[in-house]
Amino acid sequence: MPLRLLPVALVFALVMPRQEPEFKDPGALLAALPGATVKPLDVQSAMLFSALPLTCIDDLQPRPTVTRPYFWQPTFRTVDGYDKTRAFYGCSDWPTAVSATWTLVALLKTYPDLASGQLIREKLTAHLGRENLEGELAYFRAAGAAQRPYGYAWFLRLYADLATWKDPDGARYAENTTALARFFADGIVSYLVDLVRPNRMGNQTNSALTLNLLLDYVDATRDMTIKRAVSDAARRLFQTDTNCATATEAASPEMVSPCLEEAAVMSRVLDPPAFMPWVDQFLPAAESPAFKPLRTISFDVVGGRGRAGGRGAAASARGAGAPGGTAAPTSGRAAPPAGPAPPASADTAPAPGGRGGSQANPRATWIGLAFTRASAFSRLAAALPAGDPRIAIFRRLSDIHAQLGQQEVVTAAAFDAPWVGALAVSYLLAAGGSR
Amino acid sequence: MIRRLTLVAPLAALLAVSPSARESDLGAFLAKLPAVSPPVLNGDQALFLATMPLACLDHPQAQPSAAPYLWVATYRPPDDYQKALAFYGCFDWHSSVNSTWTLLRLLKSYPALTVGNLIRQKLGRHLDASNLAGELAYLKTAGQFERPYGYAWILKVSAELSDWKDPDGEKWAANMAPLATWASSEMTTFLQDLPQPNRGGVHPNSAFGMYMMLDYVDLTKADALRAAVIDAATRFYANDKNCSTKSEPAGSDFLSPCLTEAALMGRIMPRDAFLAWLDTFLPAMDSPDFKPLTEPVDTAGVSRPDQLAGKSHLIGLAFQRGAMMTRIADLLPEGDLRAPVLRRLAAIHGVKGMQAMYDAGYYGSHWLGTYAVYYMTSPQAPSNHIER
Repeated sequence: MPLRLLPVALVFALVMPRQEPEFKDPGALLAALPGATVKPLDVQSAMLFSALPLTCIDDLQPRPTVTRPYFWQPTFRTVDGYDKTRAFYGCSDWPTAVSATWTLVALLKTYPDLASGQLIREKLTAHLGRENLEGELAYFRAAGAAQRPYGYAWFLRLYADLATWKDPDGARYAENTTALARFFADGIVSYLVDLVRPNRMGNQTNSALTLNLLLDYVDATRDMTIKRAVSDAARRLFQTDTNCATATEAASPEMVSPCLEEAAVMSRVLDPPAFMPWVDQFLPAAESPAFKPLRTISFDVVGGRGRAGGRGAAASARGAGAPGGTAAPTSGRAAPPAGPAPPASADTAPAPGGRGGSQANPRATWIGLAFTRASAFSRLAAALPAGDPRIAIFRRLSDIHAQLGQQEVVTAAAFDAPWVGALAVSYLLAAGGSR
Repeated sequence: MIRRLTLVAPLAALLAVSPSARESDLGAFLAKLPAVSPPVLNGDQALFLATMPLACLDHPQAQPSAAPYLWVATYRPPDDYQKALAFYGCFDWHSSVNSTWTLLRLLKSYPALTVGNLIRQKLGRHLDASNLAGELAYLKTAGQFERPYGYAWILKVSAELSDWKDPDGEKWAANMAPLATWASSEMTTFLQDLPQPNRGGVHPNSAFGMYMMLDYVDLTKADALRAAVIDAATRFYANDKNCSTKSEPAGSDFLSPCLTEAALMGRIMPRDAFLAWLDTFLPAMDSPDFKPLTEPVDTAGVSRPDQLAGKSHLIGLAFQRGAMMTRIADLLPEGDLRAPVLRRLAAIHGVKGMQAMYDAGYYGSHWLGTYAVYYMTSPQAPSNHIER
């Protein structure tokens, strides 16, 4: 080192936090990581994953729980003819119902001879009829920002799989869902254009999570308008991000890793020459202590909210909707969409990090995280150039998370939260394609 | 020769970041900031700011009106709510409580306010013993409702009443006492049980709740709550470093997590320990990392109805930042250049907040007056900001 640079180096040594690498190099980390085996999707697991949405698709979303309203005292009844004028009224909440429907379609496309195939078609026909979708469209025209952006993105993903399904039933479902898909596509474009600051929380409001879902839709449909909108938004929101705070991730239940999900989006919208320097600045070295929280998951951690304030605040197992949800339209609350001031009222306890909506089962949330991380790691590994030492590490971490998720996905916590199954199938189908 | 140089080099390195060098940078930074004076609370401002809570206190919370997807609700208000509840106006419960505080604060500072009797009439009806007994009965069954943010405002109201020599005020203080005592004890357990802080920029933020509770603790003998705040804040924040000011604000923040935590720690730590802690917690004010806190969020382009609520938060953020910056400035030693920088930045934010106060309709007018008053009367050094 030239002597004149020594003071500069010393300033850095003094200013930079002293952080000893946890492993001396990537190879040492890789050697220390446990091996993991992912069981690929097969007919048996496809049957299991189809059973979850089949079980919930006609199970009405729960009546909003009103233990003790402060001012307005509600009485509830169902919307007249909901089974004719709605499509996604089961499975605990709207985005979960859509992702459950997508799961059925994706499984049946992959396994046309699935033993439950006829039952799946029966349910899809009952839910995806012309009148059902017209009712959905009429609802959303009047519903402001309800389910935007996460639910919109899931619906577009469902539509993408219907529109590319070479099947007579599928063609009819695609036709019936086209108008709503157009409405959501338009809505999501103006939403993304207006989005100034991304949501970086680890729940379904996470902006990167929505962008990844939209890119799945783009991959199937080649919808260049959405592609451009996602790409513009991702660059505007994330291009200048550096040093993602991996060290503080997953202190409490999260369904998605904000850092990995953002990196995965950028791997899809940036060219390799632009992505490489960006990711080098963005993610800490995998062998550093800061990365440790991203190497595994503890399924038993319940986080702060459950205990805070004591007295029966624990998440109910029944209300196992997707975590941190947008206020469900069924809740009857005029929760402003920007997530500003829904008072934590007695009738709708806030979900962790979210803004009202159903309480998440913490264990289900962790299982969801296992699969979203597995997907993100796998994308990152695929985006790195041959010979990059991170490829083997990210692949292993993807497998470790997928294996953890597969061990847990057959437990009661996952059965109560069908959105977890959708994330599992989403990962497994992508992994199957890349192997 | 080489050995000598390596010995000198660390000194050179230290000089490069020495206080004098940093201060001259900060001085240059201050000189470049717009020369803005802080908005000042005077009689005219007080009248204008009182109109907002006066206009919302009897405006009942809106009936939920979301388009029904599966479940259709029909609603009725509770029986006799005007006698059985106190905080049913101003959009939501905590805004109703903090609007009550605003009226109290303004009337205390300006006893001759033209609308003084109107304020007394309104407060007399809302803070009657039967109304507050109804509130207490409700809260005792309401689980997590409004914890901790709304409870902190209850304590703030009570604190404001505790040192007011006024016949009405003394009556209302007595009526509030059971509610405040209960809220204080509930918040004590809440903080003791809280395993980790909420670090977001909206209501559940733990540091802001505790910061406001200290206003109550400072004026009353709530030693258990004081100990709970100090313990929790120490447990949560004592080892925090490098607050990520660069990622503030999130889309609909109305408070600055970093500034609030710093202001809170300044109130519970010994001065020297706080100053050392602060040096590693907040980035330099002239650094790129701190830049987001130096500029009020521009919300002028936001006009879609579904974005007004979020917009109101970003407007209110200006006042909250201003209040926290002022408090931190007050905690810094004589001659510390960060103090004038923070005061100038607070003024820049405060002026912007006053300009934008009506820009979000009722989403803003039901609470932004409170945050303006909170900023201009906070910290409790009224001579800073109040002209009588």
